[in-house]
Amino acid sequence: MTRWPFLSPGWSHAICTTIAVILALYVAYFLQLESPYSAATTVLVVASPVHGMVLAKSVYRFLGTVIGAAASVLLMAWFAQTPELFLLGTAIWVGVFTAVSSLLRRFRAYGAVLAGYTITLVAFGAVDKPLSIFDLSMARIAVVTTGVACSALVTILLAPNTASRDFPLKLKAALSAVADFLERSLASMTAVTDTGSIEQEAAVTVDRLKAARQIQALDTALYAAAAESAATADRSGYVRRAVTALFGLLTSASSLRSSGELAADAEIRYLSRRAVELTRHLAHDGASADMAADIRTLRVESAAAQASLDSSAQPLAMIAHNRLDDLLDHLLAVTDSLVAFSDPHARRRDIRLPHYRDVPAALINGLRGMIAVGLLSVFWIYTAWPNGAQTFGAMVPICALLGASERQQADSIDFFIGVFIAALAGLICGYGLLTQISGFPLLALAMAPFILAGAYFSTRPKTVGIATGFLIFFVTFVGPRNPMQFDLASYLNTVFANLVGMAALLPVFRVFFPQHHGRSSRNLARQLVVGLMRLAKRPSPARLLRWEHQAHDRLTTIALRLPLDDADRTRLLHGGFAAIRIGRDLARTKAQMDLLPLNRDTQAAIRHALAACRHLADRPGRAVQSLWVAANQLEAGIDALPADQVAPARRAVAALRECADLLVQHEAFFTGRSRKTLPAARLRLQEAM
Amino acid sequence: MLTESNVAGVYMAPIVLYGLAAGLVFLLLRWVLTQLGFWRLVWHPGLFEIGLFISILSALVLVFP
Repeated sequence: MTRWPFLSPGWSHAICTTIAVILALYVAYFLQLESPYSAATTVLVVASPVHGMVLAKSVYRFLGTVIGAAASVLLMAWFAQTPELFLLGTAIWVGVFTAVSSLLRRFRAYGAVLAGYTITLVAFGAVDKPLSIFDLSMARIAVVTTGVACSALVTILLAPNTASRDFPLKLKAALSAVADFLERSLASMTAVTDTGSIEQEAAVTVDRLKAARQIQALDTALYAAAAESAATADRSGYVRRAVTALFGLLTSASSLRSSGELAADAEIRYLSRRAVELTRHLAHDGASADMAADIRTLRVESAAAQASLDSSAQPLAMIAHNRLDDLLDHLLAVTDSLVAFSDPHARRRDIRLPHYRDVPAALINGLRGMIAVGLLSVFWIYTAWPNGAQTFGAMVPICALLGASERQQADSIDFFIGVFIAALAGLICGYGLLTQISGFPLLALAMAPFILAGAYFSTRPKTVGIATGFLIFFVTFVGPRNPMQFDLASYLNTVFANLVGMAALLPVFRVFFPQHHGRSSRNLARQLVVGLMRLAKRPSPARLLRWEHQAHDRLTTIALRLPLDDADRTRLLHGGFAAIRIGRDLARTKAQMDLLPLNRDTQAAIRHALAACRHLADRPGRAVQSLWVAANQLEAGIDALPADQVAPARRAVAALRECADLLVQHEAFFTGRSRKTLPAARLRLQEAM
Repeated sequence: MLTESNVAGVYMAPIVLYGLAAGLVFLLLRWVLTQLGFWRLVWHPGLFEIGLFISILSALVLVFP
């Protein structure tokens, strides 16, 4: 935050947010909108210390509000006389959009959530006066637009373009973290011939997690930087490609490390060391064409070293060379992509690498939202509580928003605490201060300290949930209106209804499909295997890139979701790395099959192996057998190939054997069953030698 | 007996007081059950907690009508 260098980023954000809230309130009063506090709430919802985030979120808030308001008008028009159907329609609408939001990421997800819950803020206000629904919808759109515009204006004027400036720093941090990980994991592989001590493994795991976090942060930073700068947005495809390649670097380094003693030949040791040096150089000095040329030279040296291995070389040495090739390929992809990104004349490249979509989790979130609305509706109809509509306004938005949270139960408690504090603060501000003053300047002065404190604490990770709940509900409770009204009974009823709504949220997350990180991580791993089986059908480079990106995305989620000492975490991550290796090996084999002049039987054997891999989870034994048959058949025909085709053919043999080996080693991961049916992997490799 | 209460001139419905009282009893009982390691025996703790709270609330309403 260079514009206010004497303030910490937290306080800068708090001051910007407070100014934006006051401006939004002023504009809403000036335009004589009915509920100016909603404009202020909008500012607080879209507030972010990062300039680009505010702009991006504002767009989706506006779109979500328009869709939700339109749905409110329709539902009220259809079911104004039948509250049961109206509530059923609301439950379905909220459920569907909560599920949709769970399938999306970032602000698209937020837009979908908003489209869902806006109905409870608009339509429920018109339950007693159905004819006012259109006016209410328009009023809602007006206040949200006011809030969005004020927030954008203040952000553009006062908050610097932090995302654009911070992006290179985050890139450097990610590259440094990857270089640290490569250094530690490859150094311990080449220095000792065993798989390393437990301490070394733990250090490597921590380094890998740190690097994965930094790469993921890079993805988010790119999103914000692209929102701030059109030039960055135009070339963001290159960074997305680099992000995938960085994840690939982590995976290939882990695989190379696990190659163990047989990988530790002199060439691999030398080439690994050079790769680490180049990565360090990349992190320190940035990408350049010279560096890309150096990596290409290294890649040629690696190919030459692999070709020089004679036919008696151990299969694992060939496999290790394949893994090293992958590592160098990823390093080259990172360097080339970053060189293109930093070149202002580079051709615009639209690389779309969608994140994975967790359909079961989305369905659960949608169903939970639907059940929550349904139960609250039953309660409302049964009790005929006059303030019942307000319980929806508190519970439904938070229920939908927390669907994407990794700690739903804890966050729902944080929000409840935030709402409770907001109720007390609202009482002090609304009935202690505002009743003593008049005029907008004093209103702004009375509310500012509360908003300032809330906005500051919303930048601190430990208090973000409480502060967010506080900010949104504080403004709603104080409820600056046009004209201002003071009615303590109404205030207490509103507070009580909102607290009941929030309290109802706590059991919703505890009873209906409570979050289970172990189970959800196993589901993600299962989806990864299903994706691998689909890839085996047609393992083209483009499909491999998309699948690999999603696989890394899933593995990062698992790594961040499960604690470090969880046994399942290690099993799932190592299984995931093996799956990525298999995916790359299948793609490599398919590419070689198309290039090499193979006889019909060998081609049929390879095709059969690829087909068997489409069912590797159900019939792993058949897949392993087919892979071995294909590898042996290909190897038997190597002597008949032209001299320049021998090395690629041997790489394909190694790739097929590696697939079989990894399938046996990680059988439980691929089948999802703990019972082992395949013989030990290394034994089979030795038998083949 | 729990009746309407006057808070700053506003009458609060009896169910609010019943709910608050049930909440306090529930939190106390939950702490005791945690100390006894009771939750290991329960299939779905969240569901059990809801049932327990509703039972306490209903008992209070029945005992102090």
